[in-house]
Amino acid sequence: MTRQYYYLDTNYILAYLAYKHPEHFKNVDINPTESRLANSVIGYLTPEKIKMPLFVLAELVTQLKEKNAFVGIDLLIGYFEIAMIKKEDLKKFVEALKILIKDERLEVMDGIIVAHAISSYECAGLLTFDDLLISSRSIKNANEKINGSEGIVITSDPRSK
Amino acid sequence: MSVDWLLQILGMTRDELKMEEEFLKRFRVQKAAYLLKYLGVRPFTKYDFSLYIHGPYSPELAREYYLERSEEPQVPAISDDKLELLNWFINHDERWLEIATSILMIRERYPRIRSEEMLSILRLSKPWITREEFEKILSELKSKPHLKL
Repeated sequence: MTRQYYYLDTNYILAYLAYKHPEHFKNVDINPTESRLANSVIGYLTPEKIKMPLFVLAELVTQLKEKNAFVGIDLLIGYFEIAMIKKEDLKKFVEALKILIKDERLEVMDGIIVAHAISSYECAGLLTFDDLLISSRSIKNANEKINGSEGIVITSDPRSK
Repeated sequence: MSVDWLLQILGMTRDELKMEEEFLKRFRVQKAAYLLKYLGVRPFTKYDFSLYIHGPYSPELAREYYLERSEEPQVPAISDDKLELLNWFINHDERWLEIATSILMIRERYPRIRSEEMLSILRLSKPWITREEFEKILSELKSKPHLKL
């Protein structure tokens, strides 16, 4: 199986949903540049090549509740297939997580989401706007330890310039 | 006035920056301001930058150039050689600026990082960077003593 799917981080799916359904996000502070970019990148990659990790769905539900944005189940899980940890990836997931939890700058949930992406046999990259993730030395180290030179990318836009 | 001073050097106006289609101009302001912060030029040192979609970006700076006029009365005291460096820097295209400022920011975060590791971190978020262009840009930056690379 080749790495053919991009996983979404919570901030990315939020930006995308805000672009698609602005009526639900009127009172939510979403960066319009991020919204446009998320829509453009997902459109370019096509939704069939994108999955939303189960951890991200859980975080998304919590964040939407905190923001009083009630978007409904159809919209929440209607766009992308849900990605879960496969049994054969579990050992790599734990190994990656052990590296990431040592980095105090990373939130626990971020570590879990990144470890899932790094350990997944099908994941080509994690789409995120989080500065801490895209420039993290510990994530780079975990990625290399698990995947060697064939690691995933962690980016807001994987397209070539 | 510090933002106005920078806009004058870049040959831009606040009105232009407010136009949605002028992304590239805002991009250049952000990268020039980041270089000035990196060089320790006040008042640009007050801006916080994060490694964003196209390299270092400061929302605070963006808010300032969207104002009708600056509340910041300070004109930077910048030496001639740093001004020369700024002019050399901003004379490059957007791709070069994105890679160069990202290199500087990663070096700021990890002062002892080796170039190979720096390339790996850059490629996490910018998989399109080739080794050749990374090495060329890093070498150009290293040739400028003020950047202390």
